[in-house]
Amino acid sequence: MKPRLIILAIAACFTAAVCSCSDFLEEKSNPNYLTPDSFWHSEADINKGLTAAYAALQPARYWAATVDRFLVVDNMRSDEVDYRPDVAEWIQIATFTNDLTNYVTDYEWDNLYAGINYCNQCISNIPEIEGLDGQVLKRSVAEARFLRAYYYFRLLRNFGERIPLFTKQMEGKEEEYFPPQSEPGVIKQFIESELTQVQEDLPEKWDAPDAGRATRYAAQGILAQYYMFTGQLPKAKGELWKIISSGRFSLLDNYFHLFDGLHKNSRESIFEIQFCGNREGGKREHNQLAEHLSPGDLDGGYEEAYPSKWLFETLKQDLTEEGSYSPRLYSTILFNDPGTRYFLLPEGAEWTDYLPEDAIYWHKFDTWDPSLSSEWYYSAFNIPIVRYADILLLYAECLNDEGKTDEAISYINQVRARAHVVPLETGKSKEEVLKHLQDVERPCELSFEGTRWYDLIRWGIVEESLRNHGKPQMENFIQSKHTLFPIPHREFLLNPDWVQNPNFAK
Amino acid sequence: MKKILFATFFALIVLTGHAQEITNVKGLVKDETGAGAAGVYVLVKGTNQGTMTDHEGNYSVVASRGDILVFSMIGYKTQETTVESPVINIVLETDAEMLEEVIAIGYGSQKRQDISGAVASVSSKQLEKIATEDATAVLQGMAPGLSVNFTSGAPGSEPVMMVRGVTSWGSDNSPLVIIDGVPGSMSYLNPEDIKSVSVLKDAATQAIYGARAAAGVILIQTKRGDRKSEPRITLSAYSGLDDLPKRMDMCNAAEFIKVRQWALENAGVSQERWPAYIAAYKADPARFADTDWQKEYYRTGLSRKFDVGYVAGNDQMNVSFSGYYSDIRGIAVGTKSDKYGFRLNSDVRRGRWTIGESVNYGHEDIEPVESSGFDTMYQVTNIEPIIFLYDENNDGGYGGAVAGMGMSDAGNPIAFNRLIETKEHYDGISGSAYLSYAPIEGLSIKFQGSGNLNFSHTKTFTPTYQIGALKPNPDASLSESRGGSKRYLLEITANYDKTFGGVHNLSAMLGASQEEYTHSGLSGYAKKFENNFLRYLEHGQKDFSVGGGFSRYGLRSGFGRLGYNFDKRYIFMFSARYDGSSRFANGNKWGFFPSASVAWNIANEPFWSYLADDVSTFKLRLSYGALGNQGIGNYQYIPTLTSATNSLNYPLAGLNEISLGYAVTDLPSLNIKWESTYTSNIGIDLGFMEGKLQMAADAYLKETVDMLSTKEISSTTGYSSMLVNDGRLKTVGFEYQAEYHGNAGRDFEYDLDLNLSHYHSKLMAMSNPDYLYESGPARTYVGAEIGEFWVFETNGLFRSQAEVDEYNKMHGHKDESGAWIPLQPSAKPGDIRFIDQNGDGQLDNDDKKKVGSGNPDLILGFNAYLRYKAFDLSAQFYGNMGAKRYNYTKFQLQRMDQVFNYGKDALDSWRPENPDTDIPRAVVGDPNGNNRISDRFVENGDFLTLNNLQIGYNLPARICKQAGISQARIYAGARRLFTLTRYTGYDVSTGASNGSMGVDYGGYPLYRTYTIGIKFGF
Repeated sequence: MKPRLIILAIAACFTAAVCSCSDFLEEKSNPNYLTPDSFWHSEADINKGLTAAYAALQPARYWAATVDRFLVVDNMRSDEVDYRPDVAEWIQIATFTNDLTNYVTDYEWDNLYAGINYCNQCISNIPEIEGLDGQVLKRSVAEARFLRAYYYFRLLRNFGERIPLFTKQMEGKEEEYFPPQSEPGVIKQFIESELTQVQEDLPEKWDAPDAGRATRYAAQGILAQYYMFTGQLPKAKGELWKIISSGRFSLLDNYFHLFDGLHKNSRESIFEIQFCGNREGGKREHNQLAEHLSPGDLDGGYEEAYPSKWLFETLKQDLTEEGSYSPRLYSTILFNDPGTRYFLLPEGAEWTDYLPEDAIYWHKFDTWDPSLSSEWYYSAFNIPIVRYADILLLYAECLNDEGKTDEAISYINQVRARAHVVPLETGKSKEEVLKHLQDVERPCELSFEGTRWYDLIRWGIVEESLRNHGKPQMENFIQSKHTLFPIPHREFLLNPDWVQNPNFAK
Repeated sequence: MKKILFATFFALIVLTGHAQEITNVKGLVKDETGAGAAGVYVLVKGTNQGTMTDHEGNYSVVASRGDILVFSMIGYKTQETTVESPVINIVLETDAEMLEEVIAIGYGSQKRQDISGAVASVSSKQLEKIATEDATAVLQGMAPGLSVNFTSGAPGSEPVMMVRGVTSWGSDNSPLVIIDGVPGSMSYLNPEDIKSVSVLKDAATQAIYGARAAAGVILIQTKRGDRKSEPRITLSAYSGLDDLPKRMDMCNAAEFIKVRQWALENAGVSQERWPAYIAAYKADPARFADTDWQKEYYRTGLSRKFDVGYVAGNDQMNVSFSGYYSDIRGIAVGTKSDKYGFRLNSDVRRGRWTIGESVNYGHEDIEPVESSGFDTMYQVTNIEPIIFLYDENNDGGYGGAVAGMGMSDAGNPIAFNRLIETKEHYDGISGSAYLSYAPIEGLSIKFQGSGNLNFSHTKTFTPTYQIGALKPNPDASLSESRGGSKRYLLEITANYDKTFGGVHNLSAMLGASQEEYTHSGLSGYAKKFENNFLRYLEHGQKDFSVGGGFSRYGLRSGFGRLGYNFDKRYIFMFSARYDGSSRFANGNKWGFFPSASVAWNIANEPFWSYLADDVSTFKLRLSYGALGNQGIGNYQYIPTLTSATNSLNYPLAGLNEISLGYAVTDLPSLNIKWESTYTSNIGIDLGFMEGKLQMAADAYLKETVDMLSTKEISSTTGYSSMLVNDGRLKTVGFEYQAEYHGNAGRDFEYDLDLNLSHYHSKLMAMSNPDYLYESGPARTYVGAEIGEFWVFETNGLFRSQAEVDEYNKMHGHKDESGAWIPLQPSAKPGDIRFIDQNGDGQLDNDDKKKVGSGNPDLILGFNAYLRYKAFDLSAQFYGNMGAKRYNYTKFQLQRMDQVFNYGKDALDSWRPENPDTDIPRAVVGDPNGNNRISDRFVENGDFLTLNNLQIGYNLPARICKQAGISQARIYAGARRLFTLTRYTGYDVSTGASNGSMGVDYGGYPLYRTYTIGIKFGF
């Protein structure tokens, strides 16, 4: 063969190799992912989308995110909690010196808006699915709207009203990337109307495999919390009554069962955040609360927060008919008393074998059962958001607000009876009942469940309560500043005209 | 001065005789200096008969009268002479043209004097005096315009290269590396194999690589042998001791307790909340350790390397081989890296055909630093000195936080490095082969095919251990991942070079190529193992998980170049490339990148001749062109739904059944397209004193448009950012290089090389004119340099409550209710006074002040080579001037708000009894924000380091000959022997990343090495 022919032959082979795959520069899809086009076709897709919307409840976007939300954001500022001088950002929140560099508040903001985004994807896409039962579509959209309203409610409580509102999936428009702040009233109105409207479409109950999903009672419960927070007690009372009058809920006999992880989604539970200890396939659906509350002396707990002395003293007054400490004390606080036992204390060991004589630790959210997870620090208990005891106490507060003090006391006594605590005597004044709810009943029943701080705000007694109850470093507290968190600094880099929450820098 | 050109002497002794008579011709070949020239080829023209001159220049060959003998040697003009007598002596004449540097450019090479673009070149001669296994590191300070920055000094980590400053704000800035014509990686390149490095810096030279060339191109040629390589085997080895040049002054146990107590007292923490160790230490210090963690963590490291190779070549073929092994025992305990590999290059010529290949195999094993949960080196300074290094009661034998003492969760970094076993293994195989055919004079057609296979394997086994109370690990775990990538490249090119009429020099090149890259990986994890010795996944018992994925891109290109020069005086060159990439959607796939350049070689003008003796080179160069960048991930334009991440899953009933969630978690970038960079370059080349002194200076302007950048969007969208084409970036800069080759007689010669680079990269526009990106102290915004430092300005300490009150009375604002909110509401005596720059009574982002940037104004390299008789000395200096540095290590050591150990400075912190100090009070929680980003931590980042020093002795040729070897060298040297700097952190040069240059997060520091080595050739 002549060289020229060889050249031609090689050139031909080369051309053939190069041109043989006509889609060489085409990528029809990313082989590692689903594409939105192939999604949103079936009920299974709806459940997958909704799962993401629910997942933001936890949150789990980084290690210990659950601690940041349920310990630091919801509880660290209240007078029920004392901090250990360990993590600077947490100390700053506990001592009201937090500023724009505090990651906890930024992440709370990001996580909630991520959840709102996942909800909006459901809300925009589910109604477009063809060939499915209309009820399923309506119910699913209602679930997503419920979750979205709950996320906005969390934002409202901690970041105020001047936050952007997204009600549908992003379309990729420039104005969506730099949204305006809502005018006062918009977010509140949105939360109220959403939680009102979705009630009709949400089911009354879910069967076991879906026990943690949103019911209409969950919507009523959150709406009631919203009304209480915004001081609309008559409206709250209406929602609370819907729950009570449904007859679906009652108090568990054993107070401790609420927190042991073995009685999830019980008859007392109206809405709780679900966790589990299944670690198969690299999944992480646990929370890290026990790890961060356990004493460091046995197996490396971080003891980042303690019950405050005031709470301990208050609970020690929570006495049963026999004059002994109540299950509420024993279930809430670990201390050197045979009535309460730290789960890692070896069998037969005494408190003082391992732990300082007069130390106190949280017992609530510091439990473990080997059936729940492989290690004690993968906490798999749920975190209650709306539980029936809270509903009863809020209802009592509404009745009391109308002057029906004795009727209020009867609801309070339902809660006390479960804890075998001496009933409250009737014949008290409206002020006395309110004071009792503020300083005794709600702290004893609901401490560390993320209600106290927001209760103090709605009662308008943050400063006096904190000062009276020995909150440390109160010299840093500025009432007009510290009832809210700052809007993240990063937002002002993008939206310089936004208004920051009072007295925080941009 | 007179240009030295010796006349040619043909010493022909003509004897009478008969034609065709076979005779033995012998003679002596000398060079211009009169010395015998060894290794000169002597061939009988038209036959395969031939020989080579011996060490003294003698030869002997069988030839017939009338035959023509050809004498050839590289660097000299080939001479032919007819056999008229049995003794033919020859004096070789140097070939000025041959000696002239030939520079590799894309898909070809050019003589230095014909180049119209901006190219910096580095030869093996400059690199071979640096004893290292890292091919990138040797380039630091070698080529103006190429910056080489270390992110870390850890074994196995590689420095980052950047050509001419920042090209893109938001996407990849690393240059394209082409090894022997094929895109490759520096990781598997043995520095010994490098024959030359060309850094293509302007559009004229880069455009031929259009698609990926915007951030510069590094062309590397490896040693191949040539037509006249006498067979030669080389062996070399070095061995070195490594150490950490600088340590931080840390508090010892007693000092730590003291400062910790101040911090708690100052924060008003009630004593019962104090960590128990304070009281316990005071009661009995003997219960606690006094560990110097830096001393335990850092050690003397070792680095070694062995090389072996051969090279041979003749007219028909040439071949070279090299193999090496190197290992580094890191200066941090439990870290090391091993590398080995080989390279085989050969070319075979047969008539009009040439065929050849390059095969390289490289392997690397790395045992990296294990993380105890904190940033790199902080973990060493964080851990409290009161903790014991060892504790035999603990599983694993290492000490840690004592139960019930309230110690921090800083982990014992030595325990982590020793107990956890991470092994990274990398294999790289690259092979390329070409076939070239020259059908007519001046034209050659070349097919090239190459494949790169890269494999990675990482395995981390975490045994059961108990490192103190807070770091228990009751179950062993193993995670293992493997990845493999394949890249193939098919290419066809045609080159045509022709000179018409003696003065019209034409060169043309046309080519097409196709490249595909695929990567796939898989990973597995399991927990709970039978014991700590069964370290394979098979033995895992629970919590199994697996992963895997695939990725691909394709690139098709057509490219061409047309060069013309008239009489080596007026030089023109055009080149262009048309690229299609699978990384962009239809409609945006293809990009066209042209360039043009022109040069005027004034020294070759007739009118210059009267000056030519003084100024031998004088050339002006000008170029302009466009380049592309596709340095983004694959599939970016395709919308995706994410699943299987923990943040999307939820157990809908709190039971073990976990529902998988799906959502769009990242915004797709539907419309992204090529980023384009337009570069203009103007340059001048000058040569003086017969070329002894050479200078080149270039100035350039680089403008990048449609930048592939990250668009920050409000996180209230539920997304954090998206990839867009947005913005305009401009980099201006200059480079200057001066080389001097001098000698004083034959015994003493020296080369000096000074190179300077400057660049300034500025963000010119973004679609959002208020665009502001912050990363720590570094800010990037429209109209400013990339990565300026903006910090709060401090004004000393408050020395008394009166000062605090006074300041807070003067500075502050009224809130909505009219209440006075002071500027620093939580300030106490001993806290830092911050300046409210805009006077609005609040300390916010608008009160930060610009204090320079981490980008140096000037990058300096100074390389000296001196030889006196058999001794030589080689020194490379490298320095940065005009840079600031943000010292997070200082921040970490002086923060005093956390539970970790403190630097010794903390002892001098403000207290009523120590009022005259600059160090603020120690206080838990930092209520005043003393640790906010401020000028406290901004330091001068200038440095000059003696990067490399080597002193060698070459055994005289006479002794070599007696020993039967051709070369022997012994040397001693040091790398980074000293660094002149005022910077107080571990290392003044590590931790470089685009946008936050100069922000030092306390990376693994660069170490200092003392080396001895030997080299043999025979």
